[in-house]
Amino acid sequence: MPSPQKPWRKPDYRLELLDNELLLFHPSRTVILYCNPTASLIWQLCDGQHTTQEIVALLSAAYPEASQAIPTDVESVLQQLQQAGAIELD
Amino acid sequence: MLKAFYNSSSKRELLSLIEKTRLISFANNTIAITYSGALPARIVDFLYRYVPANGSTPPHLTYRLLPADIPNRVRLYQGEVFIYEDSPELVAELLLGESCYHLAAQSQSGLLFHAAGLAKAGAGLLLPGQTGAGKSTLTTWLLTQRFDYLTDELIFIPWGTHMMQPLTRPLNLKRSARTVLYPLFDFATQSANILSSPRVDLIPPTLFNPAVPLRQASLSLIIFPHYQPDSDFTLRPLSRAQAGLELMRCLINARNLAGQGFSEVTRLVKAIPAYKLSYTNFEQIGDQITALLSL
Repeated sequence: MPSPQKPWRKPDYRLELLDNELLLFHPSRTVILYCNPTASLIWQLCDGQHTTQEIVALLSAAYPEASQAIPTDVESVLQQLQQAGAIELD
Repeated sequence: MLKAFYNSSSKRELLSLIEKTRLISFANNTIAITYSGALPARIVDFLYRYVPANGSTPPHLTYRLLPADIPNRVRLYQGEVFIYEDSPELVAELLLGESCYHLAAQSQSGLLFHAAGLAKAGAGLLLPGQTGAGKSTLTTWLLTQRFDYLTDELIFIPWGTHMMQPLTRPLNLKRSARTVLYPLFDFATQSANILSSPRVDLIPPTLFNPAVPLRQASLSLIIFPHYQPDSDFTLRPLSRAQAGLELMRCLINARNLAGQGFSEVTRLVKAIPAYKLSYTNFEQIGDQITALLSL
């Protein structure tokens, strides 16, 4: 069950959008994260305005063929981003 | 009297005892190695024959390499501090590791990668990887395929350029690599031309390709090698983000650089194609790397 929390991006990450993928880099902690196109979209939706449920709904509407896997993917990506300190959940 | 002295063996012996200094310059850094005696001189020449000695910066560190009291042993000092005494092979291995570390630790104004570097027809090939990835072994085989040698360990790319500048050193091959290299190299007949410790063989690259190693080459292709016995052969293109991730992991001097070098690394991966190679034997590779360089 997706969380009602609104994830937001931590500002101290530098990001480089390369094609549809994303590299996130934290200079002082020397953490680097690779986001595939799906994770990159999820990261960009972590703006503090959308709940996790809304992110799932937006992605499911855009990619109906993958709608079954999207809730799990979103939860997994958010968990990884949170563990890396790249996002926080309000 | 003077003439007799100059021609005497004692004069040659005396001259060999006078300390000489060899500057080792790489990545805008310089260290100095002072040495005396025939054995230390041979070690310095063996390790650093192709490394420029004309650094623009003064040395920040000096090593001293001297004959030991026991025959066929040498002593290594950092400044005046004694570090180690042992056989020439073991001291050479230690000195090479120490000098690479200290040249890398001070490096700024460019990206310093843990990577091998070669070139073919002027096109530079970067082989980044952690220790054990198989960089040196693959480099050795590529030398037999008439690739030009730059290094098997450290490549410096100055800010804003694609120019690969190597720390050119003898190939540093783990003893376990001998099983793979026996068809390419006769270790027994070449024993006088290499330095072998229980851990590694240090082999001049010219024993595999007689061409003089290059001082630099323009980067054209990045391949992340991974030697894996009994695995499938794969050579797959990496996305730019994947290449950036892998390249950041091989960046040695990030802590010395503005923004940890992140923007410079992404600049490179936007311009240079990158692949990941997993191989079990050299026959699998064939001409595929040459073909990629020619694209």
